[in-house]
Amino acid sequence: MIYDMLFYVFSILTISTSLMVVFANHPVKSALFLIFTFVNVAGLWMLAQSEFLSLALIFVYVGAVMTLLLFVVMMLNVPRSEKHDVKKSIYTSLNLVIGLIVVYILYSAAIIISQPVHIQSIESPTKAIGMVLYTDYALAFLITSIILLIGMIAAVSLCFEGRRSDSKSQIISEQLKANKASRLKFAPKKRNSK
Amino acid sequence: MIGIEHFVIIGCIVFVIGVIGIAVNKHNLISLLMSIELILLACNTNFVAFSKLHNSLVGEVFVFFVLGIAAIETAIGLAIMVLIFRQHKTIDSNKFSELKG
Repeated sequence: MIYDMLFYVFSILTISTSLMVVFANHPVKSALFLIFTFVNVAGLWMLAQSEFLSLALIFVYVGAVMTLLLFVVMMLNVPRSEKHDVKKSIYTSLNLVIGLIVVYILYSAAIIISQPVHIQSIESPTKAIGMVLYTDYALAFLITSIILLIGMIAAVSLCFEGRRSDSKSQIISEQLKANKASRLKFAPKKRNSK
Repeated sequence: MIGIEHFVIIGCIVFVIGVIGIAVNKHNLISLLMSIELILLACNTNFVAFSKLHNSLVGEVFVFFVLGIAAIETAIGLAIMVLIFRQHKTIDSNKFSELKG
Protein backbone atom coordinates (compact mmCIF):
# COMPACT_ATOMS: atom_id res chain seq x y z
CA MET A 1 0.00 0.00 0.00
CA ILE A 2 2.74 2.43 1.02
CA TYR A 3 4.82 1.04 -1.84
CA ASP A 4 2.07 1.88 -4.37
CA MET A 5 1.57 5.34 -2.91
CA LEU A 6 5.32 6.08 -3.01
CA PHE A 7 5.48 4.83 -6.58
CA TYR A 8 2.67 7.11 -7.71
CA VAL A 9 4.10 10.14 -5.88
CA PHE A 10 7.54 9.61 -7.42
CA SER A 11 6.19 8.96 -10.90
CA ILE A 12 3.87 11.98 -10.93
CA LEU A 13 6.71 14.19 -9.70
CA THR A 14 9.06 12.70 -12.30
CA ILE A 15 6.71 13.37 -15.19
CA SER A 16 5.75 16.88 -14.08
CA THR A 17 9.33 17.97 -13.41
CA SER A 18 10.56 16.55 -16.71
CA LEU A 19 7.80 18.51 -18.45
CA MET A 20 9.06 21.59 -16.61
CA VAL A 21 12.61 20.84 -17.84
CA VAL A 22 11.38 21.01 -21.39
CA PHE A 23 9.02 23.97 -21.08
CA ALA A 24 10.80 26.22 -18.56
CA ASN A 25 11.66 29.61 -20.02
CA HIS A 26 15.15 29.93 -18.54
CA PRO A 27 17.99 27.35 -18.69
CA VAL A 28 18.82 27.74 -15.00
CA LYS A 29 15.25 26.84 -14.07
CA SER A 30 15.26 23.82 -16.34
CA ALA A 31 18.62 22.68 -14.93
CA LEU A 32 17.22 22.88 -11.38
CA PHE A 33 14.12 20.94 -12.47
CA LEU A 34 16.40 18.37 -14.10
CA ILE A 35 18.10 17.87 -10.71
CA PHE A 36 14.67 17.29 -9.16
CA THR A 37 13.83 14.79 -11.92
CA PHE A 38 17.02 12.87 -11.22
CA VAL A 39 16.22 12.71 -7.50
CA ASN A 40 12.73 11.39 -8.23
CA VAL A 41 13.97 8.78 -10.69
CA ALA A 42 16.50 7.73 -8.06
CA GLY A 43 13.53 7.18 -5.75
CA LEU A 44 11.84 5.06 -8.42
CA TRP A 45 14.96 2.95 -8.86
CA MET A 46 15.12 2.56 -5.09
CA LEU A 47 11.56 1.22 -5.24
CA ALA A 48 12.69 -1.21 -7.95
CA GLN A 49 15.28 -2.47 -5.43
CA SER A 50 18.41 -1.33 -7.20
CA GLU A 51 19.82 0.75 -4.35
CA PHE A 52 23.36 0.98 -5.64
CA LEU A 53 22.34 2.44 -8.98
CA SER A 54 19.95 4.97 -7.47
CA LEU A 55 22.61 6.26 -5.10
CA ALA A 56 25.16 6.28 -7.94
CA LEU A 57 22.69 8.34 -9.99
CA ILE A 58 22.48 10.93 -7.21
CA PHE A 59 26.26 10.98 -6.71
CA VAL A 60 27.22 11.12 -10.37
CA TYR A 61 24.48 13.32 -11.77
CA VAL A 62 23.28 15.61 -9.00
CA GLY A 63 26.74 15.83 -7.48
CA ALA A 64 28.96 16.17 -10.51
CA VAL A 65 27.26 16.58 -13.86
CA MET A 66 24.53 19.00 -12.84
CA THR A 67 27.02 21.17 -10.94
CA LEU A 68 29.09 21.38 -14.12
CA LEU A 69 25.99 22.18 -16.18
CA LEU A 70 24.87 24.92 -13.78
CA PHE A 71 28.34 26.46 -13.80
CA VAL A 72 28.35 26.56 -17.59
CA VAL A 73 24.80 27.97 -17.74
CA MET A 74 25.72 30.75 -15.35
CA MET A 75 29.02 31.42 -17.12
CA LEU A 76 27.53 31.69 -20.61
CA ASN A 77 24.82 34.20 -19.58
CA VAL A 78 22.16 32.67 -21.81
CA PRO A 79 19.32 35.06 -22.64
CA ARG A 80 15.75 34.26 -21.74
CA SER A 81 14.00 32.49 -24.57
CA GLU A 82 11.47 34.51 -26.52
CA LYS A 83 7.71 34.17 -26.26
CA HIS A 84 6.33 31.30 -28.26
CA ASP A 85 4.65 32.58 -31.39
CA VAL A 86 1.71 30.94 -33.12
CA LYS A 87 3.74 28.87 -35.57
CA LYS A 88 5.89 27.51 -32.77
CA SER A 89 2.85 26.58 -30.68
CA ILE A 90 1.37 24.72 -33.67
CA TYR A 91 4.60 22.74 -33.91
CA THR A 92 4.49 22.09 -30.16
CA SER A 93 0.95 20.72 -30.29
CA LEU A 94 1.89 18.57 -33.30
CA ASN A 95 4.84 17.24 -31.32
CA LEU A 96 2.54 16.48 -28.39
CA VAL A 97 0.14 14.51 -30.61
CA ILE A 98 2.99 12.48 -32.13
CA GLY A 99 4.41 11.97 -28.65
CA LEU A 100 1.09 10.63 -27.34
CA ILE A 101 0.93 8.18 -30.26
CA VAL A 102 4.47 6.99 -29.47
CA VAL A 103 3.56 6.63 -25.78
CA TYR A 104 0.57 4.48 -26.75
CA ILE A 105 2.69 2.26 -29.03
CA LEU A 106 5.40 1.83 -26.39
CA TYR A 107 2.71 1.15 -23.76
CA SER A 108 1.14 -1.63 -25.79
CA ALA A 109 4.59 -3.08 -26.50
CA ALA A 110 5.40 -2.99 -22.79
CA ILE A 111 2.14 -4.75 -21.96
CA ILE A 112 2.91 -7.44 -24.54
CA ILE A 113 6.52 -7.90 -23.43
CA SER A 114 6.21 -7.85 -19.69
CA GLN A 115 4.00 -10.11 -17.68
CA PRO A 116 3.52 -8.75 -14.17
CA VAL A 117 5.77 -10.74 -11.88
CA HIS A 118 6.50 -10.30 -8.23
CA ILE A 119 9.81 -8.50 -7.68
CA GLN A 120 12.17 -10.91 -5.98
CA SER A 121 14.64 -9.49 -3.54
CA ILE A 122 18.30 -10.44 -3.78
CA GLU A 123 20.17 -10.57 -0.50
CA SER A 124 22.58 -7.71 -1.15
CA PRO A 125 22.22 -6.10 -4.57
CA THR A 126 25.39 -4.04 -4.25
CA LYS A 127 27.45 -7.11 -3.43
CA ALA A 128 25.90 -9.00 -6.36
CA ILE A 129 26.67 -6.14 -8.79
CA GLY A 130 30.23 -5.99 -7.49
CA MET A 131 30.67 -9.74 -7.96
CA VAL A 132 29.50 -9.51 -11.57
CA LEU A 133 31.30 -6.25 -12.36
CA TYR A 134 34.76 -7.35 -11.30
CA THR A 135 34.63 -10.82 -12.85
CA ASP A 136 32.52 -11.09 -15.98
CA TYR A 137 32.66 -7.42 -16.97
CA ALA A 138 36.17 -6.56 -15.75
CA LEU A 139 37.42 -5.70 -19.25
CA ALA A 140 34.44 -3.44 -19.94
CA PHE A 141 34.95 -1.77 -16.57
CA LEU A 142 38.60 -1.04 -17.38
CA ILE A 143 37.67 0.28 -20.82
CA THR A 144 35.11 2.58 -19.18
CA SER A 145 37.78 3.98 -16.91
CA ILE A 146 40.07 4.61 -19.89
CA ILE A 147 37.21 6.35 -21.72
CA LEU A 148 36.65 8.57 -18.69
CA LEU A 149 40.35 9.48 -18.65
CA ILE A 150 40.35 10.26 -22.39
CA GLY A 151 37.19 12.33 -22.02
CA MET A 152 38.72 14.32 -19.18
CA ILE A 153 41.83 15.05 -21.24
CA ALA A 154 39.63 16.00 -24.20
CA ALA A 155 37.45 18.38 -22.18
CA VAL A 156 40.46 20.10 -20.60
CA SER A 157 42.38 20.39 -23.85
CA LEU A 158 39.35 21.76 -25.69
CA CYS A 159 38.97 24.65 -23.26
CA PHE A 160 42.68 25.28 -22.59
CA GLU A 161 43.91 28.30 -24.52
CA GLY A 162 47.58 28.02 -23.68
CA ARG A 163 49.58 29.92 -21.12
CA ARG A 164 48.86 33.63 -21.00
CA SER A 165 51.81 35.98 -21.42
CA ASP A 166 51.03 38.07 -18.33
CA SER A 167 50.34 35.24 -15.91
CA LYS A 168 52.80 34.80 -13.05
CA SER A 169 53.92 31.22 -12.95
CA GLN A 170 56.95 29.04 -12.44
CA ILE A 171 58.99 28.30 -15.57
CA ILE A 172 60.95 25.22 -14.68
CA SER A 173 63.28 25.18 -17.68
CA GLU A 174 64.47 28.70 -16.93
CA GLN A 175 65.09 27.71 -13.33
CA LEU A 176 67.12 24.70 -14.33
CA LYS A 177 69.26 26.74 -16.73
CA ALA A 178 70.53 28.94 -13.90
CA ASN A 179 74.06 28.29 -12.76
CA LYS A 180 76.32 29.72 -10.11
CA ALA A 181 77.60 32.60 -12.24
CA SER A 182 74.14 34.02 -12.84
CA ARG A 183 73.21 34.01 -9.18
CA LEU A 184 76.43 34.96 -7.36
CA LYS A 185 78.55 38.03 -7.97
CA PHE A 186 81.32 39.60 -6.02
CA ALA A 187 80.51 42.90 -4.43
CA PRO A 188 83.12 45.57 -5.20
CA LYS A 189 85.38 46.18 -2.27
CA LYS A 190 84.67 49.47 -0.55
CA ARG A 191 87.65 51.65 0.03
CA ASN A 192 87.08 53.38 3.37
CA SER A 193 85.46 50.69 5.39
CA LYS A 194 86.74 50.11 8.86
CA MET B 1 0.26 -4.09 -7.11
CA ILE B 2 3.04 -2.23 -8.88
CA GLY B 3 4.69 -4.43 -11.50
CA ILE B 4 7.41 -4.07 -14.03
CA GLU B 5 5.12 -2.50 -16.62
CA HIS B 6 4.56 0.59 -14.46
CA PHE B 7 8.29 1.33 -14.50
CA VAL B 8 8.41 0.72 -18.25
CA ILE B 9 5.53 3.14 -18.79
CA ILE B 10 7.25 5.84 -16.73
CA GLY B 11 10.36 5.19 -18.82
CA CYS B 12 8.58 5.65 -22.13
CA ILE B 13 6.73 8.78 -20.99
CA VAL B 14 10.00 10.42 -19.91
CA PHE B 15 11.62 9.29 -23.18
CA VAL B 16 8.89 10.96 -25.24
CA ILE B 17 9.15 14.13 -23.13
CA GLY B 18 12.88 14.19 -23.93
CA VAL B 19 12.25 13.77 -27.67
CA ILE B 20 9.64 16.56 -27.59
CA GLY B 21 12.18 18.69 -25.73
CA ILE B 22 14.69 18.23 -28.56
CA ALA B 23 12.03 19.34 -31.06
CA VAL B 24 10.79 22.31 -28.98
CA ASN B 25 14.11 23.72 -27.70
CA LYS B 26 16.14 23.18 -30.83
CA HIS B 27 17.50 26.72 -30.77
CA ASN B 28 19.16 26.35 -27.36
CA LEU B 29 22.13 24.00 -27.10
CA ILE B 30 21.98 23.67 -23.30
CA SER B 31 18.32 22.63 -23.43
CA LEU B 32 19.25 20.08 -26.08
CA LEU B 33 21.86 18.58 -23.74
CA MET B 34 19.32 18.43 -20.92
CA SER B 35 16.78 16.68 -23.19
CA ILE B 36 19.44 14.11 -24.09
CA GLU B 37 19.97 13.56 -20.36
CA LEU B 38 16.24 12.90 -19.97
CA ILE B 39 16.30 10.36 -22.81
CA LEU B 40 19.28 8.53 -21.30
CA LEU B 41 17.52 8.52 -17.93
CA ALA B 42 14.41 6.92 -19.48
CA CYS B 43 16.55 4.23 -21.15
CA ASN B 44 18.26 3.53 -17.85
CA THR B 45 14.88 3.18 -16.13
CA ASN B 46 13.88 0.61 -18.75
CA PHE B 47 17.14 -1.27 -18.20
CA VAL B 48 16.55 -1.40 -14.44
CA ALA B 49 12.94 -2.56 -14.89
CA PHE B 50 13.78 -5.32 -17.34
CA SER B 51 16.74 -6.55 -15.31
CA LYS B 52 14.26 -6.96 -12.44
CA LEU B 53 11.86 -8.77 -14.77
CA HIS B 54 14.46 -11.30 -15.90
CA ASN B 55 16.00 -11.39 -12.42
CA SER B 56 19.50 -10.90 -13.83
CA LEU B 57 22.15 -8.29 -13.15
CA VAL B 58 23.20 -7.65 -16.75
CA GLY B 59 20.83 -4.70 -17.14
CA GLU B 60 22.05 -3.05 -13.97
CA VAL B 61 25.70 -3.42 -15.00
CA PHE B 62 24.77 -1.88 -18.34
CA VAL B 63 23.14 1.06 -16.55
CA PHE B 64 26.40 1.55 -14.67
CA PHE B 65 28.33 1.84 -17.94
CA VAL B 66 25.71 4.11 -19.48
CA LEU B 67 25.96 6.46 -16.48
CA GLY B 68 29.72 6.76 -16.93
CA ILE B 69 29.56 7.37 -20.65
CA ALA B 70 26.71 9.89 -20.26
CA ALA B 71 28.72 11.84 -17.70
CA ILE B 72 31.70 12.16 -20.03
CA GLU B 73 29.38 13.00 -22.95
CA THR B 74 27.96 15.91 -20.96
CA ALA B 75 31.43 17.13 -20.01
CA ILE B 76 32.70 17.14 -23.60
CA GLY B 77 29.45 18.69 -24.83
CA LEU B 78 29.79 21.54 -22.35
CA ALA B 79 33.42 22.06 -23.36
CA ILE B 80 32.40 22.31 -27.01
CA MET B 81 29.63 24.71 -25.98
CA VAL B 82 32.11 26.98 -24.18
CA LEU B 83 34.26 26.98 -27.34
CA ILE B 84 31.24 27.88 -29.50
CA PHE B 85 30.31 30.68 -27.12
CA ARG B 86 33.85 32.09 -27.28
CA GLN B 87 33.78 32.01 -31.06
CA HIS B 88 30.26 33.29 -31.78
CA LYS B 89 29.15 34.99 -28.51
CA THR B 90 25.91 32.99 -28.67
CA ILE B 91 24.72 29.40 -28.28
CA ASP B 92 21.69 29.78 -30.54
CA SER B 93 22.04 26.88 -32.96
CA ASN B 94 20.48 28.92 -35.79
CA LYS B 95 23.24 31.53 -35.59
CA PHE B 96 26.25 29.39 -36.42
CA SER B 97 25.66 27.87 -39.81
CA GLU B 98 29.06 27.76 -41.46
CA LEU B 99 28.53 24.18 -42.57
CA LYS B 100 25.42 25.10 -44.56
CA GLY B 101 25.78 23.75 -48.10
